[in-house]
Parts: sequence; C-alpha cells; structure tokens
Amino acid sequence: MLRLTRRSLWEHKRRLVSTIVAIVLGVAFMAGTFVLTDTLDRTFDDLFAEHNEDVDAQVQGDVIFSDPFLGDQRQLLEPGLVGEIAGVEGVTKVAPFAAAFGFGSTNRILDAEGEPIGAAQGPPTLLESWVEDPELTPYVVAEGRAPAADDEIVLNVAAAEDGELEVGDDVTVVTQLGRTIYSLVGLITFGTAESSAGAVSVELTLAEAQRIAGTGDKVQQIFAKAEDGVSQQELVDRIAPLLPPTAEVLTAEQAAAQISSDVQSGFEFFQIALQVFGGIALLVGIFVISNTFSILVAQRTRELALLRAVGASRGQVLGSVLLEAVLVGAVAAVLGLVAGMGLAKGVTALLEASGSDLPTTSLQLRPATVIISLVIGLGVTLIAAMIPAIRATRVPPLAALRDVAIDRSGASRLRIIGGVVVLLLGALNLSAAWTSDGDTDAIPTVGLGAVLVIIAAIVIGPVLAGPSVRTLGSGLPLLRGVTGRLATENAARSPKRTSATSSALLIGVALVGFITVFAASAKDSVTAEVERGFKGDFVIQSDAGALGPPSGFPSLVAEEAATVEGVDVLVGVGFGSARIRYPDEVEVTQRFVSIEPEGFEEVLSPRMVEGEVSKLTDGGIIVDDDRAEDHEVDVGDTITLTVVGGAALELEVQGISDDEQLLGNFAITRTDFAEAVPELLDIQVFGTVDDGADVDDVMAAVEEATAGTPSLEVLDRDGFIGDLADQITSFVTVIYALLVLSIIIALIGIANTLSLSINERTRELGLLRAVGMHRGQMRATIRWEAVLISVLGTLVGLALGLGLSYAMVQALEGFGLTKFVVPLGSLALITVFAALLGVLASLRPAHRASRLAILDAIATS
Amino acid sequence: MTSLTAAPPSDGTIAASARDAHKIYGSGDTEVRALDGVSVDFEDGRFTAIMGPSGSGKSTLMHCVAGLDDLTSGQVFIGGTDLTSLSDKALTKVRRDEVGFVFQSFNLIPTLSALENITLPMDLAGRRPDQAVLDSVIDTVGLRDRLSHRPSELSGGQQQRVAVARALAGQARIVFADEPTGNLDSRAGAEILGFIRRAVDEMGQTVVMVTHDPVAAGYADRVLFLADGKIVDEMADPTSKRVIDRMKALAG
Ligand SMILES: Nc1ncnc2c1ncn2[C@@H]1O[C@H](COP(=O)(O)OP(=O)(O)OP(=O)(O)O)[C@@H](O)[C@H]1O
Ligand SMILES: [Mg+2]
Repeated sequence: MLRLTRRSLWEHKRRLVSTIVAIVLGVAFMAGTFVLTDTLDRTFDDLFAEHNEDVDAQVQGDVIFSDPFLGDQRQLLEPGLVGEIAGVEGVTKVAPFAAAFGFGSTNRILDAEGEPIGAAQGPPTLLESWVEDPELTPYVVAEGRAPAADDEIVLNVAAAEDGELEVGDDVTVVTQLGRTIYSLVGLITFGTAESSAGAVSVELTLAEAQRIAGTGDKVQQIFAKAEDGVSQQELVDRIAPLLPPTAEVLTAEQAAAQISSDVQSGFEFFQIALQVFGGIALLVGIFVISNTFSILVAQRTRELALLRAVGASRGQVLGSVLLEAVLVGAVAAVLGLVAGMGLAKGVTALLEASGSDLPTTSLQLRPATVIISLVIGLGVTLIAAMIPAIRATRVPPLAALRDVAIDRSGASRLRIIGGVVVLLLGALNLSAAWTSDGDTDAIPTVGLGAVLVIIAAIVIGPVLAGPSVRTLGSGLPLLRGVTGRLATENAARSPKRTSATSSALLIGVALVGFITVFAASAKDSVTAEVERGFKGDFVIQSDAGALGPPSGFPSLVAEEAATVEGVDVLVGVGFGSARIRYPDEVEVTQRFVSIEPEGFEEVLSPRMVEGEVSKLTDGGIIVDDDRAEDHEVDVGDTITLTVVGGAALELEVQGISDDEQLLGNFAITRTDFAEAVPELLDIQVFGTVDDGADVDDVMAAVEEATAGTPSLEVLDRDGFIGDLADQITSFVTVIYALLVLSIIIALIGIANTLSLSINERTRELGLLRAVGMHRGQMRATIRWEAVLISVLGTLVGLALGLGLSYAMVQALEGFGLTKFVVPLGSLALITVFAALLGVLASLRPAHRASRLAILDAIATS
Repeated sequence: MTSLTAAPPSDGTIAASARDAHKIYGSGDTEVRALDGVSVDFEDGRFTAIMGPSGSGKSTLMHCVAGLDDLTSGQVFIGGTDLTSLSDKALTKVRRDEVGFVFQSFNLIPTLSALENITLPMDLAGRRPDQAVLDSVIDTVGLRDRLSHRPSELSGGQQQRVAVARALAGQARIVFADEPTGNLDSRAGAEILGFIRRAVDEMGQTVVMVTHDPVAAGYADRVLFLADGKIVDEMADPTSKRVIDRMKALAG
C-alpha cells in the first residue's frame, strides 16, 4: 500500500504542488504572525528589562481606566512620597518621574525646518523628566550634559540626527501649552542604542516635565534602588505600607512585564486581523485541496476498484488516500512554517527600514508555533481529504470492469434539504438586523447568519452549478461559436467539481463584495450626515489619518485661528476618554467630547432629543439617547466622570442628544474639561467666515496663522467630506490587500481543477485536434471554461456580499448608517477582474491542453 | 503496380499520396521501422482498404498521410499540398477542411449532441454546412430522429454512424477510417460499410480504411497489403474470398 501511495504521489506531483502551495500560503500567514508576535514580544521584553535594569522597585498610581489608544491612565502620586520612600531602610536611591506622550500634533519636537521629528504614526515622542542617577535610568549622556534648567533639553542621538540638530541649538517643542523654545544641551543614548525602539526621547527637568504633563507638583512614578543584600521583593514589601490606597509598588521584573504587555496589547488588533485573514485563506485552501483529492480519487476509480477486487480492504484504501494527504500536508506545513519565518523576517526588516530602531532580536520560533503550524497544515489537509478518501472506500470492486463515468451527480435530495435548512437558519439569524434597535447586540447574530448563508450557498452549489453555468454561458456560442459551446458544456459537466472550484473563489469575493458595498454605504451615510450636521466653511484637524489613534492638537491653534481676519465663528471640539459612572451605578470607560455651547449651533446642527446645546452650562452634560435609554438616564440626573489624572467631575444631565457624529456619547463644556484634565486638546476646530469673505483666502490665512503646530490640515467643506470618504477608502484598501491571499489560493484551485479535468479529457481533446480544432481554439475553450467558473463564483459571491451588507447596514442603522448604496460600477469592475483572473488561472492548463500530442490522445482508444 | 513508382502527384485525380515515407520509433536496439519506404497514391473517388498483420504499420501510415503525425523522412501530400512542410496551424486547417476521420471508438465529443458532433469541423472553421449535403448524409446514415441525443444516449453502432456522418458532411477531400467496424457486430458493421460505399458511389467521396476484416475489405475498390512497414501487395476490385486467399498466401 505504501508503495502505491508513493507511486500515486509521484504521478500527480504537479497537481500536488499546487495543492501544497495553497496550504503553504495559509500556514505561512499564520506561522508568520506567530513568529512576528513572539519576536516583537521578545524585543519589547528585552527592551523594558533593560529599561528597568537597575531599578529595584517602581511605585505608581492605580489604573483609573484604560484608553484603547493611550493605554492605562493612572492616579498621580503626591510629591511627599519621594522623601518618605528615600527614608525606607535599605533604599539607597530614589527618583521621581513624570512624562508626557506625544504623537500627531501634540508634544512633538520640531527640526530645524519646523517639521516634527519622527513619523506622525509609529514610535511616539516621549517628553520625560531626566533621572539624574545613572543607575535609575537607561539613558546615558553621550554628548554635552543633562538638563539643569527648565529651558534646557536633551535629545536622543537618533532624533537629533534626524532633525539635524546639534548641541547648542535652539529647539522648538509643541505641547498643548503652546510652543516653547529650549536650548539643546546634550545628547543621550538608550543603553548603547541611538534610540529606544525608534521613539524620540526628550529629557527635561522634572518641573518642566510636570508642567507639560499637567501633573502639577505630583509625579507619575517613583523609582527606587535597594542596597546590596536587599532583594527586590523585600524592598517592595517595605515600601508598600507607606503607600496610599490608590498606589501600587512593583518589583522591576513585574514592572517590565507590565509595560511590555501594555505595549504588546497595542499589536493585538493587528495580530488578530492577520490571523483572521490567514484563517480565511486556509478555509479557501480546504476547498482547493478537497477538490484536488476528489478529482484524483475519481480518476483513480478503476485502480482503486482493481485493488479492492484483488483483495484490498476498505481500511487499506482509506489508509492509502489519507496517507497521501498526510504526506502532502506535512510537507506543506513545514514549507509554510519556513515561509512564515521568512515573512516575519521580511516584516521586521521593513520595520527596521522604516526607522523604528528596535534592538535586533533573532526570530523567535517557539515550539508552540511549530506545533500549531504542523497541526493546522496537517489538519486542514486531512479534513479536506477526508470526504474524497471515504468516497474512495465506497468504490465497488466491480467498477474495475465498468467504464469510468464522470461524476455528474450533484442534486442529491439530502443536499437540497440540508442546504435549504441551513439557508433558513441563516435567514432567521439575519433577520435580527431588522429587529435590532440601534445597539451592537445584533451584530454577532447577523454575522452568524452571514456565515450560515455562505455555507448554504456552498452546500446547494452543486445542485445549481449546472443550470447556472449553462445560463451564464448561453450567449457564448453566439460570440465564440463552438468553442464557447464546448466551454459551457465542460464547465457544466461535473457540477460538484465546478461548484467546489468556484466556492473557493466565492468566499473571498463575498467578503470583497460585502466590504465594497458596506464601504460605499458608509461613505454615503457619512457624507449625508456631515452635510446635514456641518454648516461651517472650514475645519482644522490633524492630518494623521484614520488608521492611527485620534490625534488632538493644542487649544492654542483655535486661539491663533480666531485672530485671523474674516473668521466669523470658531468652535473647538475636544475629545477624551473617561471612566463614567451612570446614575444606576454602572461604570464604563467611554469617549466623550468637549464643546463650546456658545456658537456651536452656528457651525454645526446637532440632533437633540431633549434640551439644547446652547443651554449647556459648566457642570452640565449631554448624554446620547441610546446610552440614556440603556441606563435610564433622565435630565436632572447626575453622572460622574473620572478623567485622565484622576479628577472626578459630578455633572448634571442637561440634555439628551441623538447625534454620535457631533456630540459623541457624552458632551461637556470646554471649560469643565480644561479644568479637569492636564491636556486640553482639540480634535477638530470648525469655523465659518464673515459674509463676503473668500473662504479660500481665509483658509490660507488660518493655515498661515497656525503653521507653528505640526501635522495640521485646514479643509473646506468638500475637502472635509472627501477626507472622511478617503479614510474609509484607505481602510477598505487594507482589507482588500489582506483578502488577496485567499483569492490567489482560489485561483490556484481553478488552475488545479482545469489541469486535472484536462488530464481526464485527453482523448476528447485529441479528437478535437484531429478533426480540426487549432491550438488557439483549444486555449480559448479552456480559457472560457475558467472564465465561466470564476464568474459564477464571483456573481454568487457578490450577490451574497450584497445581501449581507444590506443586512449589516440595517443592523447598524442606529449608528448613522442610514444609506444603502450599491456601487454598480465597482461590482462590475470586480466581476471583470475575476474574469481576468480566471483567464490568468487558465493560462498554464490551456497551454498544456493545446500542446497535447494528438496521437497520444487517440492511441489510448 | 504503377502506384509504387515514385513521381509527385501531378494532376487533380490524386486525393492523397505518400512518397518514400519512413517512420522510425526509438533508436539502436529498440528501433522500430513502423514505415519503411512507403509510396502510395489514393485516387479521387476511390475506396482503398489497407490490410496487414498487427504491428505492420497500417495505423501509422494512415496517421501520417492524414496529417496527425509526422514522418521521419519522405513526403505526404493531400490534394497537392506537401504536409511535411506545414506549420501546426496550417496542418490543422488541412485536417479540418480536407480530411474526415472515423476512429475505431471514442469518435464523439460527449458534451455535444449528435448533430453538433456532425457539424463540429465546420463549426470550428466558422463555416455554415451545406444544408442539402447535410440532409442527405443524415438521411443516408438514418439518424434524423437521434440528432439531439448525446453520445452516451446512443448505441455503439449509432455512434459510429454519427462519426461517419461527420466525416462525410464536410465534403472532405479524403476520409480516413481506422477499423471503423472493429467494435461493432457484423450487422451494424455491414451498415456502416454500406454507408461508406454509397458515399463513394453517389458523392464521389475518396476513402481510405484500415481493417483486419476481409469482409470489410470486400467493400473497397482496392486493397493494399502492408507487412513490416512496407507495401507488399495490392489487389483491385477485391472480394472477401480473394482477400482471404491472398492473406493466406502472404502469411505462408
Ligand atoms: N508511439 C510509438 N512508439 C513506439 N513504437 C510505436 C509507436 N506507435 C507505433 N509503434 C510501433 O510501430 C509499429 C506499427 O504500429 P501501428 O500502430 O501502425 O500497427 P498497426 O498495423 O496499426 O497494428 P494494429 O493492427 O495492431 O492496429 C508497431 O510495431 C508499433 O509497436
Ligand atoms: Mg492500428
């Protein structure tokens, strides 16, 4: 049996190579993600271990809430604590620490040309208080000296090089407090590295760091060092009793682990996304592999029957097919693992090239990664081969004596019933989209419905593939004569095979279609919403784009813009996160906006359920109607906001809004916000111009007046709306790029099926050539068959995607998705594209078919 | 035996011919001379049968003359065109427009109906079939009520009739048939041979047929005998009895 398996593998090596490619791609994606994650984990672990090398204990405030972009927000520490800790027995050194985190338009340092140093996205700028004691800081002064006065700073070597700054230069730093000029007195390295993982490190005096971070005289962290003979744990135990209940003390090890896991959780979304798309690719791979094995088994029916006739048991037949799958799967999984490591290497190289100065850690290949990759690669192949293998055991010995018939089955009753049942279940789940009332609860149900409908389509596929292909191809003979006719019949002749082949494409296309339609609807909805809500002439915002954290800028910008001649009304909208306590005592972390009630409605038209924006006073809050409903909030109730820095605001509910675009979940006054938080940042400033003033001129003047703040853009109405649309487009582009993998695998599947079918039809093709079909016609026949299969998969996929996005848009109506748009142009483009990809997939098989020796084909008769 | 003298076909009365045709498979010890210097003319409107023991090169000769295979050396002509110098494309065109084929089995495309199979070469050429000829061929082979059937829905004899109809309907210059009755019982075989004979007599069709069956050879105008890749004998106006006698003589 083993010899047979080997022989069979060898004979079909070319087919199996394409099968292997399908698994390799999927596994590579998965393994690559794991290796990359582990490598980055390791890198950060190393980095932060180094960071805290000589610190034995670290004191910090408790977490108030965790912002999805800015991470944990903590309570501050009283300055008196520093002296108390210094007095603890066994403590040799103490250092207080405060820092502000910069990206986008705030807390950035400008180079000689006035441009911010470092990318708008990516490694942040850290404005930190300088820790004097070399044992408590990872930084080493490489040139000049440490900052001694509040107008002195020190930069890391890489950042200074980047900004072409030298010791002795004046350097501008933009913070939410405005622009300050410092004198650069020294350069530092991070250990021996020129930067800390690509970050821009700016060292200031403690007082200056506190001023910028808005901590007053409080500090964020206190580092302590133990004398020899006192362990980290002992030190921590001695410090702990001194602390207020809102603070904690950690050993260096714990601290390093914590900070490193903080940073890593930032990568989590990225990781999950990659794994989801890798999973989709593998799913598509299952179809391709299963189809390949089915065809191989079908073609070997006679051989298998002969084996059975001469005494092989069912188990032996099953074993021989599965063994083949195991060998193929194992080879593919190993190759996939290797390719995955290559992929991870590529990404780290890319990261390095893009300037994030990560310490070089070799690729981390954990045993778990190896095991998971092998299990997935093997598992997928085995699952895919299982049905064909079982079918192989059902080959009766008598089949050896009969002519091998092509499997034309497809419409079994079980299949129809099963498909319809799954379809109904799916429809039932999808219907939740219509009954949902504006919350996210319906989304998982709708998603499940979507998956079920796709499964139903795949189950019923073979029943409908024949008639659908014939309908699709009905015009072909007129266009292409007998080649078109043959192509149609060939695509329709084994519905199971055609259906499985196009199903692989269907999955990817359904997702593409879903995203395309959904994005078009979202664009239109957003545009309509903005056109309704935004009455102004221009907007100032950060140009950092949609994919990064929302980026604020100092309120100074609004002040500067207000001085420009021709500007009429100007309102800044701020943005923050807070811990919210509802009247029903439920606590959540939520985002909120801060607004200027006066003038707000001259530029924007918010939808209110109760109360008026212009009547919002300090000490008041406007709550979104959905939140209000969930937590039974009424006007007059009290809501508590605990903001960054730990301040708690008790606010009276003064209105209920129905406008998450403009007023978010909660809106408070700018004055309240400014008092509560250290960093008053605007996310957008909306403005109108005086009657008769030219918008473009005013905008140019605004741009000029605010030029001192980096990464800002001033947009007019059209630009602002277009910008929102662009953000959606760039998001969709990323998803398209990730779906390409599964589409490539589906194409491999089409090419594979065609090649196998051609093997089966050798005689037929020979006969066609004998009676006068020339090579071009032969290629055209195969090409059109591929086009029909891919267009079938695409059309069904698009139809599903369209339906599903319709359901999703319904489900999300409460979130402002008020429009459903079918972008016919894009869908037509996708179909044409799929047809072209079908042509691409047919190239090799068509070439092979056209080169078949005619006599070989005839001689087998 | 005038046909053995080597002269290029000059007038329009020769449908196809071979000149000093050699076909050698393999080399050294495994060398097989499938054709070993064959020269032959097939005149217009005549029905030639080719006979000989298994492995004597009958099929090879037919394939080479019909443009399905190329010679190791020598020349073949169809209607004055030298096939040995043609590109694949031109050769395909010759097969499509000038040659009809009937094989022993698997003659039809399973996805096409009987009628579509009959008109296949013309469809490939993008040519409309001559309706009168098509009708007469279909009626001759008696397939009128089977035209929309797929090959799998036809008996072996009916399938061969469709194949014959395809070969005749395009009014090819010459039709080649390799054991067209080999898979049929004698009654169905006799029908097929009757159709071929009628096509020769009534339409002036040129036919070359490879056969092992002396009875089949009896339908032909002449019989060529092949052995070891050479033409060893020829008989005009054969009857099955004379063919049997001649075969005995050759074997002995
Ligand atoms: N592709 C090939 N490779 C090698 N030898 C071949 C090939 N095709 C045919 N031959 C050899 O050439 C010789 C002639 O074969 P051919 O098929 O023409 O014989 P035939 O007269 O048609 O026999 P049969 O009556 O059995 O059909 C045989 O010896 C055969 O083995
Ligand atoms: Mg033969």
